[in-house]
Amino acid sequence: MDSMISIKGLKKYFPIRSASLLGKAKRNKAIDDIDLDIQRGEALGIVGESGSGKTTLGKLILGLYSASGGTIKYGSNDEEEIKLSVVFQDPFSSLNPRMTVFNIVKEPLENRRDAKTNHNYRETVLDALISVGLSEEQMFRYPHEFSGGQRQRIAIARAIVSKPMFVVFDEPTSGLDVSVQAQILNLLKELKVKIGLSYIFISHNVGVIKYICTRIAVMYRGKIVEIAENLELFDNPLHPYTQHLLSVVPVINKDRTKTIIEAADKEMVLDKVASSVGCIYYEKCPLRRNICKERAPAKSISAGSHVVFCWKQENWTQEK
Amino acid sequence: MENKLLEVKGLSVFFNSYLGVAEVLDHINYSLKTNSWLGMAGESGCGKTVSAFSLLRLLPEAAVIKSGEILFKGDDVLKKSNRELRDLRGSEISVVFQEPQSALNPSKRVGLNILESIALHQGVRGNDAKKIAIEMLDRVKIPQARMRFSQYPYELSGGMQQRVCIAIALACHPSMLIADEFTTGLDVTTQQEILKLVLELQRQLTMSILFITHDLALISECCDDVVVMYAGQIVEKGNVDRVFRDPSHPYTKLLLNAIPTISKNDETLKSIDGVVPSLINPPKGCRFHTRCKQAIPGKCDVVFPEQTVRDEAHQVWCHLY
Repeated sequence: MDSMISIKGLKKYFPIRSASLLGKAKRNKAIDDIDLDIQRGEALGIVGESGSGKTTLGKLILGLYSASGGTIKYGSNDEEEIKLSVVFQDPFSSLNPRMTVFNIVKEPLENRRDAKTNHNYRETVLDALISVGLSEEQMFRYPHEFSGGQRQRIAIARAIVSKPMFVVFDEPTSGLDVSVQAQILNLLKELKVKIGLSYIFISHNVGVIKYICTRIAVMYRGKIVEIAENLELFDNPLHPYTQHLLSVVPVINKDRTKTIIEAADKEMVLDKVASSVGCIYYEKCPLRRNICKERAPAKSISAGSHVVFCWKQENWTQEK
Repeated sequence: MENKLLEVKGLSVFFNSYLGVAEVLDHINYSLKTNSWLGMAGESGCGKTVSAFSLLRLLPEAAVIKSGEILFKGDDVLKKSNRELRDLRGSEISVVFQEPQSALNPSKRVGLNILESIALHQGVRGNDAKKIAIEMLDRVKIPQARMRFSQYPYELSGGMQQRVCIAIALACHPSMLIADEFTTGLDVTTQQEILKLVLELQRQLTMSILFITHDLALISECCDDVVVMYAGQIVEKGNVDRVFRDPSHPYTKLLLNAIPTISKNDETLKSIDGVVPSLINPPKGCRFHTRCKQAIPGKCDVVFPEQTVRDEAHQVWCHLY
């Protein structure tokens, strides 16, 4: 297999300030033992609620955080250099208000080892701007002159100008209107084909993930609980958390019933540091058994590449 | 006859700015029935929030209400004195905002945040007020209400903070709640819990809700009626079932098609080209004609269409009908 980035046993712990001075320091397991292979040309979606470690995973891949354990291997051999890039959620804070669009988009080029002279930047920058649907006359304007959607296009131009092989999109459409979101999503789809981009797309919006991604990983409290190809995941969600997540996504219901009222009542659980043994979803799981509390679930693989971490999957049918 | 709690008639609001006069609302008509949900949809900059806040006369200084009537329980809000408005705000019409962390006072404990509104509107203080506040926290299903009462807002998660905001809004049993994008920053799982809570409370307390959101799916899940706004004009309105089954205005159709959902397997989403136009010298006629593929030259760009009745509970403003 030709994987571009392969992650093994990745961990990232953040210290939590302990109440007592002598008390044992607690750690928040933001990322806990994740294995993941990202293939060339793949659009991998990472979905989960806030606090599940999606962004931390993205930052670890980018090298913006150092891992507490585990490895991330880039490229198929040691000589290969994988160029990485990123687009953040908020296009208002991710663009320097005092720089022109040209300077913003040019910046990644200057930091490359193969930096060119100023004269040559112009064409490269313009190419990037045109490929995200902006024009030459907009090149010397400032970010405040643009709308949210256009700013996100500038951020995307900056991400692709250095011809990266891999981009981390961290909720790039969350702050945008649905109509603008559709424009940006279509742009990403187009770029994937046109310049052969591979990316991970982090989002809590399941509909967006379904639209844009070829494979999807579902995260819950620092772990990947399920990972499968797009259609397979939606047709056949296996993990109880994935099933719950898909059931609460609002849909335009033509034969409408007030689905929200009908959805089963979930007991509320206070946020706390997850226990080190057992399944992380134990407290909320409607299908839990004793084994789920005692041992972390083993990996089960079905349908070729559909991976799920759940005891339910092992020759066990629902019991009362 | 339907029982109308609120009726907005021909409301026009202009904003004075140094660039010129922005026509933010252009002859808006809608009504909210007693004990029901009205969804208000549209892109940002369409005037959703302005139309909701003019109900409370909570508009910035630059705003001028040009014309119209806002009848709340039969009385015109626009004719009320400041004193009368103070009685209206908070006790009759309450608001829940998008960002709970900025709506709560971070330097005051959760309890004080709630007590403030109880003292102000009901004149209850001391232990009696505390009892009401804790009862409200229980009502919005915050576990360990007593403990939460004396915590600071930062100690609560986003979902919990929004529950506190709802408790504050409902403490005085208003007959109407304006919910302005109040689930937008939350996770889908939390969003569903909060919506379910508000649906339950709305039924218990028999109030009406004006739900402002850009998420049409949410409107289809919990509202009874819907108003679709574009650039300060209402382009389509009616019963949610009718409107979503037979969306008639090109803008409504495009808005519905632009949402990626888990039930669709589309290859390409249909995005709406362009952006909402500036409301200073807005396009003449139907303001959507600049982005509409079906626009009829000489008609759509000249005169705003008359109302077309699709059926008794569904109206559209478009020259195509």
